[in-house]
Amino acid sequence: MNYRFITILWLLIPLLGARFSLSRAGENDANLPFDPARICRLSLDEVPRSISIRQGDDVWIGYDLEKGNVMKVWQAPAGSPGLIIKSFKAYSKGTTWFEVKNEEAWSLKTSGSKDRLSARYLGSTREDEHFLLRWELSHDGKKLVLNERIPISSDGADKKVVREVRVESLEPGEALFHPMINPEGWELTNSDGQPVSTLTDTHWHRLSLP
Amino acid sequence: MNLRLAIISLVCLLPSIGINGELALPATGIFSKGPNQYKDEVLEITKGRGATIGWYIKAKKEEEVRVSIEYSCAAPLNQDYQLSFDGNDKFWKVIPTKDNAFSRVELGVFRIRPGLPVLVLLVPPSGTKYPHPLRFRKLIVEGSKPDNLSRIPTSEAAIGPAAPTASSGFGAKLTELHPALSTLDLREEALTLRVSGMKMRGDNELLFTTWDGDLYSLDLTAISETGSPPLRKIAQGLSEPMGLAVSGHRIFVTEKNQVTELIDKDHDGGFETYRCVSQDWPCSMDYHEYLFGAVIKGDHLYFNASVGMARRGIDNYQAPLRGSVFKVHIDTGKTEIIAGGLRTPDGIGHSSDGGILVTDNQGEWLPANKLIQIEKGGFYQFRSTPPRHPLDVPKATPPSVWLPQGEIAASPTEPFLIPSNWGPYAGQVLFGDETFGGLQRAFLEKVDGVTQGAVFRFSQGFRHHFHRFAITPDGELYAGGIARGKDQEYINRVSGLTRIRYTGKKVFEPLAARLHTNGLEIEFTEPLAEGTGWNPATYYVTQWGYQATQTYGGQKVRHRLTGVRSATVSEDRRRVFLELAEITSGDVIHVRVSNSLLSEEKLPIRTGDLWYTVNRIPTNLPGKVKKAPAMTFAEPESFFKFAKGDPGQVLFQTYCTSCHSLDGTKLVGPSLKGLAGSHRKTRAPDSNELLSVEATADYIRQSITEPNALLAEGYTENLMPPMGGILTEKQIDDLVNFLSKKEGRP
Repeated sequence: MNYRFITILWLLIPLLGARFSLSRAGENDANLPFDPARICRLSLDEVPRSISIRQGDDVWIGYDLEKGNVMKVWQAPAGSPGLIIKSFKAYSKGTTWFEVKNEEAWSLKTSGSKDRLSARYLGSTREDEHFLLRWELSHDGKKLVLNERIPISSDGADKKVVREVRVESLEPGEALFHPMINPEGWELTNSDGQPVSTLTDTHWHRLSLP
Repeated sequence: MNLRLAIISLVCLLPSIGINGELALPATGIFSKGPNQYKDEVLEITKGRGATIGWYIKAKKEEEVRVSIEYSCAAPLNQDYQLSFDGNDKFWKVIPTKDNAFSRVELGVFRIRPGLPVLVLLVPPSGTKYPHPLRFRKLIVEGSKPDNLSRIPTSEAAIGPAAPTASSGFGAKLTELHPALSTLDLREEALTLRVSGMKMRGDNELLFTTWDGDLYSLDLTAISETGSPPLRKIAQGLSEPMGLAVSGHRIFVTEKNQVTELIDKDHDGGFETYRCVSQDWPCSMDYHEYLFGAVIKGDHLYFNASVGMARRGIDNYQAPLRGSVFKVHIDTGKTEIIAGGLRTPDGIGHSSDGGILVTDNQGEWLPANKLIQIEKGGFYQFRSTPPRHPLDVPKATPPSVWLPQGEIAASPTEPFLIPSNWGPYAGQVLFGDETFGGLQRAFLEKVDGVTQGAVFRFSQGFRHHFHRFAITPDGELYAGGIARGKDQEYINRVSGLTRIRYTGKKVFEPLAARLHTNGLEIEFTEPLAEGTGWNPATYYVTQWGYQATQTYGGQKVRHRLTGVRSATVSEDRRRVFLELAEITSGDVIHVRVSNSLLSEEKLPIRTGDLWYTVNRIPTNLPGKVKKAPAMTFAEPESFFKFAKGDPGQVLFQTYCTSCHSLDGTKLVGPSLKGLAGSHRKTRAPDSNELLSVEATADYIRQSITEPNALLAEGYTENLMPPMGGILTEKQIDDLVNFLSKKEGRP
C-alpha cells in the first residue's frame, strides 16, 4: 500500500462514514434504516407481534405479524402523531380507515381443495422506496414465500393506501386467496392493472383502499 | 390469672403432642399471617402474598401420614392451594363448603422421616386477593404410630442462629471497589444508556444494545481517559432487546418477542434487513415477557424467556413455554426447548466446560436467587397455573449455587467467565446485579457429575448496576448498567458503561470452596500467616435449606448452627479443611471467616463470607484432618462478636440495604433517612389518591408486610417484595422497632 493510497483513504473515510455516523447518540436517526418515526416495531394496540409502517406524511398501516395481514389503517390527527408510545407499547391514534373484522387467513387453492395457510414471519427490509415484509405461508409441507411491500411515499397515489404483494414459486393452476379482498374493501389488481380476486402468478399485485 | 385462663394459656403454649398418631397444626401457630385476619382461632385467608402459613414438625420414626384440612369457603377459587410437606408438593382445588360450614378434607399422603424438623406449608395462590376468605382452622397430620409426631413451637422454630456482628465483607455488603480492579466511567452525561446486550465484534469494537432499542458501536482504540466515549449508533428501532450475540460478522438480537438477525447486505454501514430468525413460542402483552440472552454455540443461539408478571393479582396466567431456555438454529430458525421452570433469568453465559450458565431472580417459586448450569431437560421449579410447562416434574432440578436474597444477590444478571489474565480468579464466574449492584464471584465444581459450588463477595464501588458484559482479547472487561422504575435520576445514575481492568494487586480473601465427604475445604488467594487458621472458632458456620412456594419469596428452612470439629491448614497454607459436624444434601452452608486472619505477607483478609450449595455429598472423598501444631490456638479467644444491640439493624443490613439507604442516597427504593415520625408522600394504588402519611410504627409495619397498600410517591406497585413472606413475625417486630426509633436515627 503506498502513501498516496493511504492519504486518499484517510480523506475518504469521513465521507464514507457520513451517512451513518453523523447521528447523535440517543436520538432517532432518519439516515439509519428503521427510523421509529417511520416504522415502529413495538406491539400495536395490544397485539404482541405487530408492526406499524407510515406511508406518506400521516397514514399508518398496522400488521399482525403472526397472521401475515394488515390489522389496521389509520390517518394521524392533523399536526400530531398517529402513534402514542407508552411503556414500550404503541397505540394508534387518529381516524380509522380500515380495521380487520374477520378471522380469515391466507388460503391456497390447488386442484380441487382450498387450504388455510399458516403464516411465519420472516422479517422486514428497508428498501430505497419501500418497506418490505416477508412471510412463509405453509400447509401440510407446502411452503410459499409472500412478499409485501409498502411504498414509503404516497406521492401520486390516487388511493388512500397502496400496498403491493407478490408470492414466490406459485405452481401453475394454484391460486392464493388474500384474506381481505372481499368484503373488507381492499381492491386487488394484477401486474397489468386488471382487477383480480386471487394471486395466480408470481408478479407484483397491487392492493389499494379506495 | 384465673384457672381457666391459666389452662388455656398452657394449652396454647405447649407444642401439640401427637396422641393416637394425630397432630394438629393450628392456624394460630403459623409463622406469619401476612395481610390476612384472625377471627378467634380461624385465619381468614384472602391473599397469599406476604403470608407464611407453616409449621415445623418432628417424627421419632419414619411412617406414612395423611394430611387433612379443616376449612370453610363460600365460593370457588380460580387457583389451587399448594401444600408442601418436607419439600413435596400437592395441589388442592378448593371446593366450596355447604352453607360455608367447616369441613375436613384430605390433601395428601406423605412419608415423614425422623431426624431434622420437617416443614409443612399451606400456600395460597400468590398475589390474587379474593373477595371471600378461605376460613382456615387447622391442618391435621395423621399417622399410625402413637406419640410419633410432635410440633415444634413456632417461636422456637423460627429463630435461626445468632448472627455475629457484621462489617463490610463480613456479614454485610461490600462498599468498596476490589483493590485489584481499576475502572473508567464511560458515560456520556447527556444520555441514559440502559445497556441490555453487549458483545465484542472483532478485537477492538464493542457493540451494545439499549433497552430503548438502539445498537451502538464503540471503537475501543479511540477511548480517551477523559471526555465522552466516541459512541456511534449503528441501528435503531429494536423492540426491547435484552440480548446480543455476534457470530463472526453476523449480529443477532433477542428482542421482546423474536430473535432477529441484523443484516447489512450492501455493506453501507446500515442494517437494512431485520430478519426474523424465530418467534416460535407463544407470547402475550405482559410487560415482563423478555428474551434474555444471548450466547452462541456453533450454529445455535441460546437465550431465556422470562415469565409474565402482570396477572399475578388476577389469575397467575402464563403464556405457554414461558420460563424456558431456548435453542435456535441461526440459519433455519429451528427452535428447541432446552430447559424450563425459570422465572426472571436475566443472564446467560458460557460455563468453563462448554455448558450454559443462567442466573435467575428470587420471587414466586424461587425462595432465593440462583446460578444454574443448565441441564438439558431440566425443570427449575417456577410453575404456572395449568397448563404447565411441558418439562414440569414434581422433583425440580436444583440450582448449581443458591444466591441468598439480600445477602449476596437481589436481581442477578449475566454470568461470565473471568479472563485468563485475572490472576487467581481466572476461570471462575462473575455476575452482576441490577439491584444489589457490584460483581459477585462463583466457584463451581462437579460432584458425581452434578455442578455445585460457592458464591463469594467480590466488588462493589461501581457507579453502574451491571447487566451485560464483554471481554476484550486482552482481558479488559466492559460492563453495562441498567435500571428500571420511574425514578429517572436513579435510572440515569446507575445505567451506563464502565471499563474495568485487573491490576494484579495482591488481595487476601477466600478463593474457592470444595466439598468433601466430611467437610468443606476453603482455598485462599494467599498463604495464611504461619500458625493461623487452625482454630475451629475462626469459622462461623451455619446451614439451611430452601422451600419453593407459589407465593413470593421464602424463608430459610431449618436454619441452624453447624459445628466445626476441626480446621486443618494445608502444607502450603493456602487451604483450610473444615471438618463439619453435619452436611445435608440440598442445603446451603454459609461460612463466615473471622476478619482477624492475616496472610503470610500480613495482608488483612478482605472478605469473609462464602455460601456453598450442597447438591451432592462426595461419597469417598474425605478431607485430611490433622492435629493442630502446638501454639496455633494462641489466638484471640473470641473471633466473632455477638452484639446485644439491635437485631433490627442486622436485619436491615441483610434484607433492606440493597434498595433503601439510611443516608439519603436514592437507590431502587426511597431512602429511609429520618423515617420515623416524618411525613411521607404516598399513593393508594387503587384510587391513585395522594396522601401524606406519618411514618408511625404501624405504617412502617404495613410497608414491610404489604408494600403495595400505600406506595411511596414515584414508585410502582410490586417493586418491593412483601417481606412478610420472608421474615418471621419476630424479625418484623425487630425491623419495625429499628426503623421506628427517633433517637439516634441516621
